[in-house]
Amino acid sequence: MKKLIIILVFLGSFITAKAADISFDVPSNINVGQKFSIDIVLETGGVSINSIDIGVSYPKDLLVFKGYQESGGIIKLWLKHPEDKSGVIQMSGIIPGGVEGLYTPNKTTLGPLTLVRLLFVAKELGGGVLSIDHSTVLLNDGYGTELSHNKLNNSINITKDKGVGFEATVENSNTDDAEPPEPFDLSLVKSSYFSRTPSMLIFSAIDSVSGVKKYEMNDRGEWATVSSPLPMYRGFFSKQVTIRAVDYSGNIRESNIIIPGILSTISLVSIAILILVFAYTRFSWYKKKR
Amino acid sequence: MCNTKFIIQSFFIFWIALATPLSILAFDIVLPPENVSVSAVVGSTAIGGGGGDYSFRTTVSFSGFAYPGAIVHIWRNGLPVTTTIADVGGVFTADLYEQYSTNSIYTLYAIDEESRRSLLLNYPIVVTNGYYTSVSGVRFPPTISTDRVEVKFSDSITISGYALPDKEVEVLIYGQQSETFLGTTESNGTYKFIYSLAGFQRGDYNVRINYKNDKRNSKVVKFTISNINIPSTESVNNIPGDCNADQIINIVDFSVLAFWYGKDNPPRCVDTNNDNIINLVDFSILAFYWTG
Repeated sequence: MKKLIIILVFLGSFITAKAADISFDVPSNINVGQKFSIDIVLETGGVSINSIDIGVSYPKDLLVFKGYQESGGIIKLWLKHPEDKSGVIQMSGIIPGGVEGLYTPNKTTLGPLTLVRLLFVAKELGGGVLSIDHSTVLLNDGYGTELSHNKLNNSINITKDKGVGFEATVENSNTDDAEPPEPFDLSLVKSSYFSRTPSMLIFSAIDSVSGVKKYEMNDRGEWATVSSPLPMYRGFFSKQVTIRAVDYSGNIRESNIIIPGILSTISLVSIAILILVFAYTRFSWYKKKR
Repeated sequence: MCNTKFIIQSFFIFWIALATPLSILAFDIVLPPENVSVSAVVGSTAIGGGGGDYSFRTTVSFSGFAYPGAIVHIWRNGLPVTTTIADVGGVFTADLYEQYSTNSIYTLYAIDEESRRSLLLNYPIVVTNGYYTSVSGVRFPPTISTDRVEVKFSDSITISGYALPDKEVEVLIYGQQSETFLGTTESNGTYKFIYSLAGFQRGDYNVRINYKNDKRNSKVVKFTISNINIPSTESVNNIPGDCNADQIINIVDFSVLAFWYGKDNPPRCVDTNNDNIINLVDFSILAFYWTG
């Protein structure tokens, strides 16, 4: 029986090696204070996928999460962009049209896909484990069928002890990203009269170096964190709305839009004329009466 | 001695298993059905400065099969780059000049002569600087539309669209019941099948088309068998997630879905799979029907 189990495990490990899996691509040599990236890689097994939801656990005592590289992965449309929540980097997004794998010239098989490139700084010497906390991958089949896959953890080793000036290195590790996010548009999606969905402001900025960390809206002098889509309830008068995208290095890009009010300029002028006409007729009538 | 015998036995069993039924056990790595091939050679168009210091222009070329007269759109990393028109045989080709060595995602879609859109095809490609990278064998699935969104019980439905000329196609109608039938496209790439729904029960159905023995399907069109006929018009919404009924699935529809993500009692048009929950599955369905 024991022999049979060993054989099955041996065969099983061979079979699963070709199934769909999510893994990490980690650099081999990392020094304390070094900024580096970790790719989350998906081998689809030859099927087309279009949606992912992943949580990644990392050794917080060794690493500092510094953002993500927008151009490094295939996900461009985020439902939740990578964000550290209680030690788990959570993210979800879609790939419209789906994707099967990476096409490499002169190869007959598709390569694994880099879903996202996460940026870290090594802060302490030692070893730890990167693991997939949770993951959902859906097929591009029009039904959202879940893709069965393996989650492959990976170890990470930080070598070489910290030297003089280490703190400064970690704190200022993103100073090489001096560029703000790229200019972005604000679009107002107006609600129809009978729709339960309100009018919404939609926006999406790209920061190719450290990634967009958050969006903020100026609300009575205070900057409040917001996300797209942002419900917009129209007032009587038009107003200007300013949204700013903040990247993981603190660089800012602002964008403005005028939200039209319920009362348009024409209707305001019309009301003013009506008031004037009414006042004039009343005045004339009063004058005639006297 | 016993251990040695056991190890030999184990390897013997393993190699027997490896030699014969492995194709059943292992996860097959199959090429995409349209047999896309990607090759790269050093570019032939020289650019750059004098004094013998020059480099070759980085180029990515796409070629394949759409529909006769179709406009093929090519996007790079979510932004439109170029369009090209397919010839009478549905063959298209387009060259893109790249400035940097990149790993880019190219998105292709085709619009047939009657303005029907294909589904999107994505090709993440390793592009090497100074090389001519050729992506050949791209093949769009046929376009599809129906004449009715509601069909009177026992009446017929007309399924039409564009594909490659003189090709065998397979149409699948499925829902409470399912039926498949085969047909051939015309020499100009059009097809039109008037199919009797006699024998089908009342209810919601889907129809899709694909080239025979091809796993890549067209988009899915929904229709209902009821007591009346309602024709398909531009104002009728029958694409999942298309709440503004503009027949386009794009960032606006994504945002409407994102607004209702995790909220109770979502509108029916947002809930693409009618399970009364807006979750990742609804986004996946939206991504499948995405037109851009």
